[in-house]
Amino acid sequence: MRQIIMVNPGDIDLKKRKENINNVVEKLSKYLDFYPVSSASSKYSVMGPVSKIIEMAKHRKHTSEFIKARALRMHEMNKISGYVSSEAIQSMEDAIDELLKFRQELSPTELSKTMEMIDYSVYFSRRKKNIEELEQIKKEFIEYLKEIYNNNFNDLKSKWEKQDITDWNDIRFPTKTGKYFQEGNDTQKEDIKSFWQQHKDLESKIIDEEVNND
Amino acid sequence: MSKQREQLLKLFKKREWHKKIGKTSPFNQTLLEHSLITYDVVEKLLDLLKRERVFSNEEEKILLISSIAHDVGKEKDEWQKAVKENRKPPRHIDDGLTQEIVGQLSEIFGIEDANTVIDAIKFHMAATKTNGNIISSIITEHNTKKWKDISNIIASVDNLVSCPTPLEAHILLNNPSRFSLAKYFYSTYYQINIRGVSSTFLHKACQQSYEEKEWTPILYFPEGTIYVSLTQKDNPTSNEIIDKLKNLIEDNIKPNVINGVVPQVIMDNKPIPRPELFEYMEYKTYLEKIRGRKNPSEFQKFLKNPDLNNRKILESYTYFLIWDEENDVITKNKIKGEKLNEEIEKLEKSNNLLNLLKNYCHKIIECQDEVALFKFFKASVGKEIWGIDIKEKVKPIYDVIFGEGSFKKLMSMSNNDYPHEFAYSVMPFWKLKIAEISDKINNGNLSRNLSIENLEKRKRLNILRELLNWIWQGIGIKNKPERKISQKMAMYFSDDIVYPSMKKVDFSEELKYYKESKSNMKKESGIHFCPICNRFFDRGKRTTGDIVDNPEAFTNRAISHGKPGKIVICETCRSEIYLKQILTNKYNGSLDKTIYLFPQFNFSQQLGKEFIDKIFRIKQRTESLMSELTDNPELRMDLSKTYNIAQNVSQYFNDIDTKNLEDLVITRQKEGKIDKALTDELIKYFKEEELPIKGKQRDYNKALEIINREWGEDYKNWAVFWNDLKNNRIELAREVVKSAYKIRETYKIIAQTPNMVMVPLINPVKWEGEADVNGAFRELFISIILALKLNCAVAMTDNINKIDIEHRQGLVYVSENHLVRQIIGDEWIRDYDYINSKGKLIYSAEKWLMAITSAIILTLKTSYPDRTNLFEILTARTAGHLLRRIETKDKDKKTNNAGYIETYNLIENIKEVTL
Repeated sequence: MRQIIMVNPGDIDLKKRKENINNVVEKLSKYLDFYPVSSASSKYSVMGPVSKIIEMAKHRKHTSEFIKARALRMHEMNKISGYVSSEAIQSMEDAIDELLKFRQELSPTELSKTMEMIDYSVYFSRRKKNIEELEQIKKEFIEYLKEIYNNNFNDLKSKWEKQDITDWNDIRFPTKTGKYFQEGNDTQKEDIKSFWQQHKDLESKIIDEEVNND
Repeated sequence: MSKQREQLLKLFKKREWHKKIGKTSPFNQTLLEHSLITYDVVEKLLDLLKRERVFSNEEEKILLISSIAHDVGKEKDEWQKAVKENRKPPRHIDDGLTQEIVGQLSEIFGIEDANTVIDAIKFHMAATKTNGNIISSIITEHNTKKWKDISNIIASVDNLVSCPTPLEAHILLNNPSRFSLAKYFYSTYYQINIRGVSSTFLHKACQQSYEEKEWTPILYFPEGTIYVSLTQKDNPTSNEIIDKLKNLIEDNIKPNVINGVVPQVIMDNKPIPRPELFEYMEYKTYLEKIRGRKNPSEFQKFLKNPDLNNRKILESYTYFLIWDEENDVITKNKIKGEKLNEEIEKLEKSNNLLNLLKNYCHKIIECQDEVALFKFFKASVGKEIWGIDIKEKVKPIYDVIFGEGSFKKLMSMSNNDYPHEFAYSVMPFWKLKIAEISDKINNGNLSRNLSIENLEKRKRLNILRELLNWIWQGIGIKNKPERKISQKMAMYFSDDIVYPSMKKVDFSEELKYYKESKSNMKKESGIHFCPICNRFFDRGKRTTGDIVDNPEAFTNRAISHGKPGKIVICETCRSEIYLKQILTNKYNGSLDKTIYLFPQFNFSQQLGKEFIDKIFRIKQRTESLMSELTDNPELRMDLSKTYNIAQNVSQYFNDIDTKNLEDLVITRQKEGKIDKALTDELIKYFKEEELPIKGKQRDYNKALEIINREWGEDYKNWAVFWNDLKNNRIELAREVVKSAYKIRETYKIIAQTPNMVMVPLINPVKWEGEADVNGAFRELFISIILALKLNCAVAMTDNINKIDIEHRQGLVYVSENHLVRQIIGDEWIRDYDYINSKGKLIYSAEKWLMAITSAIILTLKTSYPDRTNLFEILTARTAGHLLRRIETKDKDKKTNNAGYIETYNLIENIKEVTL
């Protein structure tokens, strides 16, 4: 009979491992800044090629070039814009190199679990970034309203005919299509429209998210 | 607080000393706490030395400044970092920092001789006493010749406040080579074993006794206190301590003791739950408090749906008739069968049977308070109360009133058998005429021909109480039952005094006992080894389920074969359990955990006073909010309301330092919910009057009319009445308000001295049906809040013996749950991040507070099962996993929690410590 194989996994430096994961997550997330997202409602649309990169990285047989080529092709197939700038390619390459370097440190038993952790961590960071941008728009909208109503909240309240709001913090995201918009009176709709007219640059940041914020 | 101390606090808080480490060995202490304690001790010693005129005013100020600033070098980041990382820290003498702080303090205290202070700080560490440094200091100009003495005093006091136990502090105080003021002071101490709630009283009794002998306390430890005096004085004797302890126990149990004799409802198996608490002289008070079972359901059901085919009621009535008619005692077994059937057949022929049965049911419901009075009387003439059999003495007196044979009937009355109880106790009373008993009661204007049965219930009860009390007073026995429990308890608890010890332990004797104890564990006689406190004792009483959980369970303290039995515990442990039950008014069911609050290391007299004052303030607030007299019934201070508490904590995350404990733990009940509950309770209260305040028939004017009539009020307007009701301003409505707002005691604060405060929980922090690991996180959450807001160590456990208090290693004790300890990484959490001896990073109490708070708030958003929700959240693999869970639940519940930045911030807080 073959002798029992004894394995001593040794001590893992959890702090360092956490730092490495955060580093990879940061790089992958940075790359996604170059990837236009058409819909924020599903995990795969938020993650773009990154999901595929992580999936491929789980198998050690996939070389760096192979993964980069597949990821690039996916990026080019993006329905919103297939343009991939040289900065985007560089960022993607950096992230993949970092990920594969980190992969080398992982034992076979850790690999799948750690890749899953990276995958979900990237997702969290992208979603958070997205929500932060929406929060910023909301803040700007409130500032805009304060300006046009001379900081008089009661004036806004009566013109919008809203009884359920008590201060500026109750103002919600200026959705253009959702329920909140539809239920508003003409003044409210007009204020939202004029805000967006003056802040066209912000429009690219909201896609479906405004519906989510209803 | 003196102005100077206030200024010092302000200065050091600005330098964040309250967040910096001051000591890690033998116990943890913040830099602020350690410096303040050194300052307080020096101040106290100087105060005592004043009449000896040892130091000038200027020298006193120098000593005070040096004491508070002696560890200023520890505020450096390098020192703090090294300690947190479990490395050897660099020296904490920093000339630059010393000069800076001494400059600031000199202004506050108004001194000129900064050099002496600087030298005192420099030389409080032995390592800095190099020849070069000493020569350089000799050359430096000092205003006082005592500059060297001053530096020695600072080093001595630093050593004193760093002693781990009162004994070591006492040894140091008596050693002139280690304590430079030893020639001026005599010292003493006391030390106790911490057992439980009794320990708070024992601490107090010891302190009262020492202070009576004019000893001055200087340091409080969880297990004792250290005292000094300028003149030699005696230690108190054991009798003096026991005497004080007895009085303390008596004073504290007196308001609650009646509940141990007369429970809420007289129970069948044990009408007097704690016979030890019985006092002959209080009999009348007991009778006033007795209430019977409410609403026997089978009789109520019959009255709702009267049915002649209801065999159960028919049988019950038949039994009653037989028992009532027969003069002699007759058992149920003798009636069962033929006799019963015959009687039922006879009854069934009656035309009026339905009315007879209805009348019988009404009577059974009506007589329950009287049954309870008789049951209590029966128990109170028992051997358990008097110690001897007194039945023969009571019988003639009882029979004189209730008729020949009635005492025999009462004694054979079985429990929980309604017809039997009614026939054998109440019926002989109801058959009496006022004329027969008029000389024994205050009959007022009652007609002599009236029979008791025809009186209204309140009058009947009053008469019965008077009669039973008359019999009670007539019992001609010299040795009346007396409550001696305080004296007994004081004797037992005094065994916990380690010093001044009254009992010497003979270890060889104990070993011999140990060998014998195993076979006696479930027997009352023989030598025993207490399964709770590991003490030896000779003879004990068997425990019951209301004292320990499952007393018949297997224990390897007993032999595994032989007859089954209940374990026997020592009288001290039994007294401890009794005391806890009396103080918490909880005599049934297992006792829940207790929160222990004690100094992380030690407290100076001043810090101890601040701590106990804070506790007394909270105690007062808690008791007022948990009392039915509260002015704010909508406010709660219930530690199990962790969701609401978590919301408070999250609201104040950024300025939690400035908030009081009450800001965090007081929660408010929802307005809408309360309105509904009050409405329902009012309807229930005025059930007979049918209060029209709900549904289509609502008529507030009519309702107000009823309320004004019944409660003797004069409300014209419903809104005004409602407002007064909600604010608990109507005296007669307090019962309604209490039920609607669910006002009840959920814990009890037992505080006597700063050494140790205990909070036995009546309502557990862990939720019902929740997994232990989930409950442990909830308990940790409450413990951290208490620790951070009260500046003391906190442990929540069901048995203090599980905690090694003498080796406490942090601010908050993590509950004894394997999973929680694995996640946290250690048994204790400190007030800072640190790397433990196994090399694991343990996050600070504040970080854990933020994480658990966030997890509690996320429970609703993630919708994990209630049983394990906190555990699931705190062990989620990544933040993304949690987010995906919330998104999935958003889809199911049509919510949008994932669309708000707050959700992400909460997840980030959890990520900080776990993900």
